Amino acid sequence: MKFKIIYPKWRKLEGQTTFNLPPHGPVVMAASLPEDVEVSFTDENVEELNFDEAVDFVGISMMLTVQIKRGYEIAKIYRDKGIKVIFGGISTMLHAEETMLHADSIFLGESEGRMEEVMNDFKKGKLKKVYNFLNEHPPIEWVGPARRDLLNHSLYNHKGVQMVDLFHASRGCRFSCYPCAVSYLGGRKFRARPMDKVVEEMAGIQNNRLFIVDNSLAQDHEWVAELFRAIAPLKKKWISHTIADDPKILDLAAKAGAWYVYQAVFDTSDFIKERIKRYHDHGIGVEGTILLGLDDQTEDDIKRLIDFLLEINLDLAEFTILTPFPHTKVWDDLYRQGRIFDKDWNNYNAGQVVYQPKNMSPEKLQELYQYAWDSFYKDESQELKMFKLFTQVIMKEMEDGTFVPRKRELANQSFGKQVIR
Amino acid sequence: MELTHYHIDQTFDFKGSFDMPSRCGLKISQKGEKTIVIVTELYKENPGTTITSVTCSLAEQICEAFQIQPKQMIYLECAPGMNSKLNFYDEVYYLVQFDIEDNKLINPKWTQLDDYEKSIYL
Repeated sequence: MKFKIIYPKWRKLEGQTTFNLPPHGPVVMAASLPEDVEVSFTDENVEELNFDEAVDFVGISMMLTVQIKRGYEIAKIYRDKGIKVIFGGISTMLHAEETMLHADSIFLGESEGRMEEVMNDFKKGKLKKVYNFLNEHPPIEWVGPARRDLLNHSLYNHKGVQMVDLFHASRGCRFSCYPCAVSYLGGRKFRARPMDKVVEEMAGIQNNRLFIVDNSLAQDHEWVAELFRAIAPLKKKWISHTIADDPKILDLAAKAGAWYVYQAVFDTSDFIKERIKRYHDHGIGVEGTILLGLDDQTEDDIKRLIDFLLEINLDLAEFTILTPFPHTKVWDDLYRQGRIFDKDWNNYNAGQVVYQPKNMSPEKLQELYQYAWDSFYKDESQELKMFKLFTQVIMKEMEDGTFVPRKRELANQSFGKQVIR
Repeated sequence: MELTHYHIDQTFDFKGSFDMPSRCGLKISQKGEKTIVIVTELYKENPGTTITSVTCSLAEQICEAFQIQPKQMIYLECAPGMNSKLNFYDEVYYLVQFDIEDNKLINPKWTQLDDYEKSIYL
């Protein structure tokens, strides 16, 4: 039985450097499939989808809201041919009711221990409309090594430089942040994978550069310290979300290969300034993630925030417009207030205003978003700042003997396409 | 961040999206012929769906559990304060009005309460 997993493409934000990272959700799910299922995978962002490939059953894996309309289009083509389609992934969970209208089946929740049932039902012609495991998380020790063998790694390469591989050591989040749906998706309980399995999987990844995609590395100080001690001997270099603000943990993170972190910058306080400095003091770079359009922001606040970002020497900044994704407090607040005016999911890319901001017009917020990108990267382009951060990791790798030169045979390619050097 | 719990007499377990076990704060009081229902979002203490994403269904579940006539109900949603300096975590109340069709609640409309209106209902 041949099962085809598809990761739909989406329109990238204009004016920004485009990177395609190897998807994580589909390969984690694939690890939970029964052994007798033959699997193939296509990431439409880096390769054409061949609708003529002979397949028995199609799984569409969607992470982002901007993928769902394309997911529906793909499903229609297969279903018109009589091939059954099941949807899964984060945005399937966020848009479950709507997705059901375009699917033979939807899978909600985490797949470990559940795919045997789905595949058996398919074989018997008794696929259920909904497989709902939203509130029944499988034992965390069931999470196996992701099926990275399904990825065509040469497609996640820019001019010979391999993109990071994604990895996770825990699930769930005990925080409940304003714009985030993670607590709905993965539950409010922090669930750490067994450390031996974490180390074993990480050690098995050929790529020396990783993105540890755990929701936060600040949820359990004791566990995170243990994690950093355990992975340090592997000498991997990694990116992550926030790391606990504790000098001992930051020290352990640096020794474990922390390259740079995504850190939310939400105001111009000394606390933020010192927080960034503490990362830098430990040799960890910082990409600030800055949300624009919050109800407490005026035009002046946003301009002041951008000046502040330049003062605190952020290595990179990523600006996003507040976006009301379903199952977040932002959605609830804006929906109740009747402020969401755009329900075209293709526009939920965090670079487009889809709601009425409190202190300015939508057009002004859109303008300020562009101003933010232009101002922050005015004196030093995004490419140059990235290059500097990239140089830092190369230096670290050279120091500990893990540096691998870029692949010369891919020097004329970028994400599977020919480019001029 | 700790929640403010000003108008919660009990917690109420309800079925959220796709029957997800969910929990909210609840206070029910009588004012003349009207039954005032205050439903409070519990955030971290709610394991499932938010009160706003299943408003109609939650209101119906409360009506059924406490034998309340929908027509006699004044239904308030509360997003409690989270004792944060960020104003989107401030406490806020909404009056939710529904249309009733075949004994089902539909078309919820939210109106944020100002201080005067709060003094009437709370």
